[in-house]
Amino acid sequence: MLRVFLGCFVLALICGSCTEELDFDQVDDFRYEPVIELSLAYYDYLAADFGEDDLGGRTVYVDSTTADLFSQEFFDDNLKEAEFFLRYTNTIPRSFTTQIDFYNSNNEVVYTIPVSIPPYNGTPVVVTATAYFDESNIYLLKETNLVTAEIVLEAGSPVLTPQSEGSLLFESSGTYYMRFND
Amino acid sequence: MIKSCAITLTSLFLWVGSYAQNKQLLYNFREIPQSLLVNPGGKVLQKGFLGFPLLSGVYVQSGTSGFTVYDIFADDGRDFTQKVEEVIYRLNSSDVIEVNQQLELIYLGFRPEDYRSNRFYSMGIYQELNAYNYFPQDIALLAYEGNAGNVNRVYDLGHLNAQGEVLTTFHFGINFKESEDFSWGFRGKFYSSMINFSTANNKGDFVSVPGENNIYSHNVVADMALRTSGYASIRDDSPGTGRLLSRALFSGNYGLGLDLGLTYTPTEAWTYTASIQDIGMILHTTDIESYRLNGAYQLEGIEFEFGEATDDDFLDDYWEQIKEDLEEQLPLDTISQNYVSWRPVKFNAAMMHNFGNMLYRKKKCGCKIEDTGYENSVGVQLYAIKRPRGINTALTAFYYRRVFDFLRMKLSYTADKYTKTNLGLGVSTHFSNFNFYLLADNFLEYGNISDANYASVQLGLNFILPDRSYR
Repeated sequence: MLRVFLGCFVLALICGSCTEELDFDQVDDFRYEPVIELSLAYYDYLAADFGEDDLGGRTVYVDSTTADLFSQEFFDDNLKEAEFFLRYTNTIPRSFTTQIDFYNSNNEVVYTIPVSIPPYNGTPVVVTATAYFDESNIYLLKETNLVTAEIVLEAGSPVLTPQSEGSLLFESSGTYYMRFND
Repeated sequence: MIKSCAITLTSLFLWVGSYAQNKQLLYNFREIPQSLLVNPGGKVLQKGFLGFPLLSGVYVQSGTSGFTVYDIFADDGRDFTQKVEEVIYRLNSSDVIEVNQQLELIYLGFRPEDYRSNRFYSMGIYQELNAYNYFPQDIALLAYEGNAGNVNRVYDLGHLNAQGEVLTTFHFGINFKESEDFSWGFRGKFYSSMINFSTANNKGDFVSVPGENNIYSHNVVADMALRTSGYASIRDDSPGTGRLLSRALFSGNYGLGLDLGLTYTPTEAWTYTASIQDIGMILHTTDIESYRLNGAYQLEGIEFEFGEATDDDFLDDYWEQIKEDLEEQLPLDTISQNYVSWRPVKFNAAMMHNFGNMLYRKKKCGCKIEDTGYENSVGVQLYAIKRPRGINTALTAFYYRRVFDFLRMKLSYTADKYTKTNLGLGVSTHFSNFNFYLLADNFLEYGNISDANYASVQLGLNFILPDRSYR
């Protein structure tokens, strides 16, 4: 009896890996899709800084930065979709037209997010916008290497002086849908 | 690249266990010469032995906690990603990923004929591979699902705790039989570390909170380090077999260690043993490369400043500035610094009661091996091993029996905080002067071993010189 038992035991060990059906090729099917949320850009342009009165009627304000984040390998290979969320909070009693422009390396605008912002009327004016890059146009983001922020001060009153109060606050974040499977 | 990382990680996570290196079946199995490696103060009942090179001691242990290989790789038609996800959400940061493998290259022992024959010398060389990793729960979750929807959630970077090594051990031990009641012994060890890496005592976290200036503020605080030796030189250049062999023996990273053990038999019916292994360390001075990430960084995004100087000239490069700030405030440094790695100290103790027929087999057996004493033993064993975050322990109850002159067996039941269903069985056979042994842990699971949380197997072949004086 004991011998039979031991025989079975040894046999079991030798077959050893008596194991149900396994399929290691399934690894090829593995994909994971983390969603990353990151703050993007922001500014808080004070009414007092527009200098409308002493700059000869200047109405366009622009700033820029290189932005090659999405052409980096990590995003270039795995970023499938992206959504940008923009929020403007206006506490200046003037209208603005703002614009975020995405430029490629040939200095061509590949994407624009224009937003019109009504004047402050006693309560802060909040305007939001979203920009969605799906799989068909995500390449635009990946070829972007420069981003500009533009504020156009629409004609109107009161004239903004160094004593003016309020600001145009811009906040933004991006949601990045990644997919790792190849 | 991503896929190979995923495969590597997955493979690592397949090997989880709490038992590694608990050789509860070998401990006190006195017919097997390798038991002297677990307790250098064990009772030696051979005159000498010689292990078959490369075959005398083969030990492989693997395990999984929280899931099994079968859970993930079963060919059951279920979505693979879904299965992996279930496992990721099931594990936590105290789950351990562990693999241990040993291979004896040479092992021999003998009792000298001279007047000091109460001594028994044993020596040899074995190679060992260890990996001991905690599941980096927060980092894995962050990588798997991203930070979206998890504002205010603090991800603990301290979950990263992993070490691995390949080393060769040269050892020499002396066993002293002071009297019929008491023997003790020690084993000196010289370690040559081929590859070592470790990252432990990491601190830091990552959290996204509502920002002051922007929608989110992302915050990293980190004090983390990864130390390696024997890695930098093979990273880009895979060495040939010859070079690997010479590195295995003479790596330049050496250490010393000590094992101690004793056996006390106050009466023939009772035996007490204890041993401590691998009190030692390795000093890494050659081919070392360490990485350190230390600092704090906060990101709210790119601030457009609309400075007058930059209004139209696009001069300011905020993005480059962010990258520079990151590198400056949270620098990743590569450094060459000697370091010490401590061996995982292991402790064994046992109390056993011997009973049954003591004399009948002595009268009729062919006595190829020692056959004194009772034919049965039962007892309990305690095992403990020092790990980065504390001490792991296991308790074993066992029954040992001399079935025949040529066959001895040991049945064990082992419990620890991870599992309560580990039955192990070991057999030692003796034909002519040859000893073959096979020790298998958790054998109940062998029907579908891929569905076992862990398993260990040890086997080997030795040539034995019996001690005639025990006839």
